[in-house]
Amino acid sequence: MPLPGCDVQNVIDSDLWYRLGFQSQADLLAANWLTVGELYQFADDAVKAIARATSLFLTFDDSIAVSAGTAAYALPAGHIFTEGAWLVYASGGIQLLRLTTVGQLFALDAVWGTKTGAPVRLSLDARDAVSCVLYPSPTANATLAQIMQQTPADVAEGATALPLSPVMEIYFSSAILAAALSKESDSARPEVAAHLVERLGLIDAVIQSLWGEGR
Amino acid sequence: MNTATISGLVSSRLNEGGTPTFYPYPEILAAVNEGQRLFCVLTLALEKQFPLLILANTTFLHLLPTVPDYLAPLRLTDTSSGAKVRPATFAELWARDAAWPATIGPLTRYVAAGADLVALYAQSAVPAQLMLQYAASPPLLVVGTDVPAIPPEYHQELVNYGIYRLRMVEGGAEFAATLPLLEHFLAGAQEYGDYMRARNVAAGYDTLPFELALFDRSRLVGKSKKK
Repeated sequence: MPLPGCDVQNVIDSDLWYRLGFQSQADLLAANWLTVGELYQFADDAVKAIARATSLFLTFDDSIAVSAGTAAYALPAGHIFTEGAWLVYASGGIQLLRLTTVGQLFALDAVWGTKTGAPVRLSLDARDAVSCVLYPSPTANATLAQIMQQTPADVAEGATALPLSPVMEIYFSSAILAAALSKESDSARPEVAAHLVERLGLIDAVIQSLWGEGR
Repeated sequence: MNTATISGLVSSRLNEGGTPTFYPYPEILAAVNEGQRLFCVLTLALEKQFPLLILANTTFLHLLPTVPDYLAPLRLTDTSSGAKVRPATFAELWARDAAWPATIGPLTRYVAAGADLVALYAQSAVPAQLMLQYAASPPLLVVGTDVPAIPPEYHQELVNYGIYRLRMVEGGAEFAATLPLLEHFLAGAQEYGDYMRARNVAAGYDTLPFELALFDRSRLVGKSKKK
């Protein structure tokens, strides 16, 4: 029985071996062409690519505790982009944070890094790719809440469920097959792989239409 | 047509029938299921309703854990007032209310974003009952008596898709010869998607199907055929 939801294991265990031209999964593995680990790696590559190209993995996060006197914070693991962010104070008050590039911060305030006060802006490029910086530097504790795109945990054998509709298994079967059939070997079918890449383009377009584009 | 009929047609058109050998029944079933899923995501053909109980003081929720076959929202209604909850974007909510994530009041707007994230505005101080009308993914076809969820006039497209997908395993000219069947399948999906789009506009639904006519599928279905 297939696992509920969108699960890469459903894709790999069901009939991928058949679609690769083998009589069984054991037959596939005996051919020493592809390992199961490689198949999951192809799926993981596809997850990460689609997480950047679309808004599929949008989620709400309030895991960052803001402390007075600290302007920079590590972003949650797997963070790709922030759709919107705000501070929630202990009183229940909310302050929208305008997303601002570091270039805009310098244009706004030549000594922005030294300013303190109630933050009104959030920069995702003022430090490094995995940190965010508040401007001005906060003078009160709060919680940083954000709606953000986040890559899910790595896909690997034993960690195969994805927070997606089960129809997305179509995408992952195409992506795994396209990668596998492109691998150099006597079993390679580059013309089918090229077709599957076009199929992925169609599904990408549908995803962006239904669930949003990447940023 | 039920699953057994569709599988039988796929098998006989691949010159097998009886006891399929090169294209075994589980593969045909997998191909037909994939075709049905693709048809549904392209057309939003399947509509369902689900009563959603929203806990007090909830702004954000993910729908898939509660509604596993959810694809996209069509209409959200506040069961207690009977009023439609109108769709919005995050930018619209910020423009409307600078403290919207924490505002308590009547539920009037919602934002659907990503695969299943929903934001509600405003929060309810008490549990709220909503009715979610949504486009759904189809249930898997498992046994021969199962009937596809898409309209019967498009069941033939599942046969076309099944043949196309099964011959993918061979590649080369055999596979290329099935691309017109994929084009037929996509043309059927486009036709029904156009119908669903018009229907969804008339019904005031919040999501329209993907506009397949605007997607250049010439390379997908074999450009050389059109020369």
